Amino acid sequence: MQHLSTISEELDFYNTEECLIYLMNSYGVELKRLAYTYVKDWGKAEDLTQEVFVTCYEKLHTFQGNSAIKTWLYRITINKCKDVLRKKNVLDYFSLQELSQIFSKNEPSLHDQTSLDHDHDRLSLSEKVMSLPIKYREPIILFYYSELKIDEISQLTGLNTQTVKTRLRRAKDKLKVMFEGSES
Amino acid sequence: MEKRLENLRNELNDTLLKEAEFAITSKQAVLKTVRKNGKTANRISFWKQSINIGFTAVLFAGLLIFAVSHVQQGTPKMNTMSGDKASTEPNPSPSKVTAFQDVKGKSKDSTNDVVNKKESQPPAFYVVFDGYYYEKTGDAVEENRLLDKIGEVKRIGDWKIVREGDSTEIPPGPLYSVKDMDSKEYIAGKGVIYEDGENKAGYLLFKRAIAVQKPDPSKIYNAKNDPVEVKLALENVRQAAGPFYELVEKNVEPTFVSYSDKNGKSITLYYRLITRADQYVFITQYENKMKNMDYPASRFASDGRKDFNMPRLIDEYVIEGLKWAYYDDLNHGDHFYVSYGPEWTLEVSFQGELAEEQISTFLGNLNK
Repeated sequence: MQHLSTISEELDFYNTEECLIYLMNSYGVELKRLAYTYVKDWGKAEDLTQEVFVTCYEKLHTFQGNSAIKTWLYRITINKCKDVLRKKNVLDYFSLQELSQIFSKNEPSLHDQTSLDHDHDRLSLSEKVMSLPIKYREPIILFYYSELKIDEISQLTGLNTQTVKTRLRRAKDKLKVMFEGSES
Repeated sequence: MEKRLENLRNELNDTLLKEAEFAITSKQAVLKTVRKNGKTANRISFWKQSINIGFTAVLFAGLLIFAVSHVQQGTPKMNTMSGDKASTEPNPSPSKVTAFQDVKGKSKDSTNDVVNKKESQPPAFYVVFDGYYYEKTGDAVEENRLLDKIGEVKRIGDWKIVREGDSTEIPPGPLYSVKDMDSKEYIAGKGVIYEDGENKAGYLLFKRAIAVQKPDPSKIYNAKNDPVEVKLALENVRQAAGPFYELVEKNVEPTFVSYSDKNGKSITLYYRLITRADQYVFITQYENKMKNMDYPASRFASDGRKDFNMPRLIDEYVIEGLKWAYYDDLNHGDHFYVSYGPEWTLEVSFQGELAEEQISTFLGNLNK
């Protein structure tokens, strides 16, 4: 939104602490939700959101207004979330299903596959999206949830636009398979 | 699938992301941290000054006192600030606490003052009613205080052209006047409220802020999903870029427009099949003077990736006088079509299972 990019212009008029309060009230919930979609833990999401605003306060004077302040805050949040994910234990990186496939020498048995399908049956769209690996969850969330454009996602994630589009497409294919599994 | 995903924001906000209250204690913790960091910075500059004037002995003494006092007091870490943990810490000074006291109440906190000062700016969380932005106050309204249905939220999202019934906060549904409140000043709508430590469905109070301003339509070059904005952006891009390739086909609708003139003109268009909402045609075109190897959105651009696989030419066709090359793209695990026109390079790909004849028809219907 246009008005968000003008906040920095008014920093001369309002001290940065007031601005910080304004930003926390305006974006706190949104950034916490965004962080949750990465780390899937409300406690961590809360801590990350706090860190985002501390960083925001420290770097506010460097914000040039070239991008919307929302985009700037998004970038800080995404980077912090990815830092957390990078530090996570390897066991946290993979879903149970992925782990079972990694450590299983054989294909999942028919019984296992059926139970997995049943798990998917019970999942709503939200849960299905959240069950995607971060590589595919990220573009889905940023495009459909945060309603960002491909170019914006590309800038935020550092991926080129075609990669974003491809990941988005593959993510949708994966979701489609989940839904088809549920409906059959 | 596409329709389901378009509802993802509402569904996530109503389910898994419902819990998202950025707690007052968290805000206090952030303020406390930044104030503390500020004090630390001042302290450091003081010691630097001491060094400059040669009081080395004082420096060591000061450092000793500094270290001892910190060891005794303990230094809270960022990751212990949230939720209940933060509430156990001493409150900030009273003058600062007011900023967060009774956020749900009608206290004149400093945040609201800041918001009020920014009268010319649309609020971040609003509903548009009767030509005005109505800003979320943070107050909840009990259901028995709702009076007449006076309006309706029609869509939720962030748009360039704001319309009556738009909201960035609450999903589509009725808007009400509130008992004992001026209906021109305050309205209410159903959203998510935070009560008794949890998020639940409830009615939110909105206060009239500023009149909705019409954006300059001639400056809209990028748009997504809103048919009016997309149409406007397309017209503006036509003016700015001159003739470029568009899909002239009655069974598709443009849903995305993106234009840039950085290092040359480039345009990205998405078309959705009207009959199949999950099928898309993606068209990227850029001026021939922009080498596709350098243009980041091109499938031929490695973008510095060491594991990049150059797309492999599979076949070539001539469709409606335009020569097309069909490529296998290992990087994306799909195929795409390229045509080098007299001015533009076109890269076209598809989503959804499309018959070969259908693809030929689409490529044949790309016209300037």
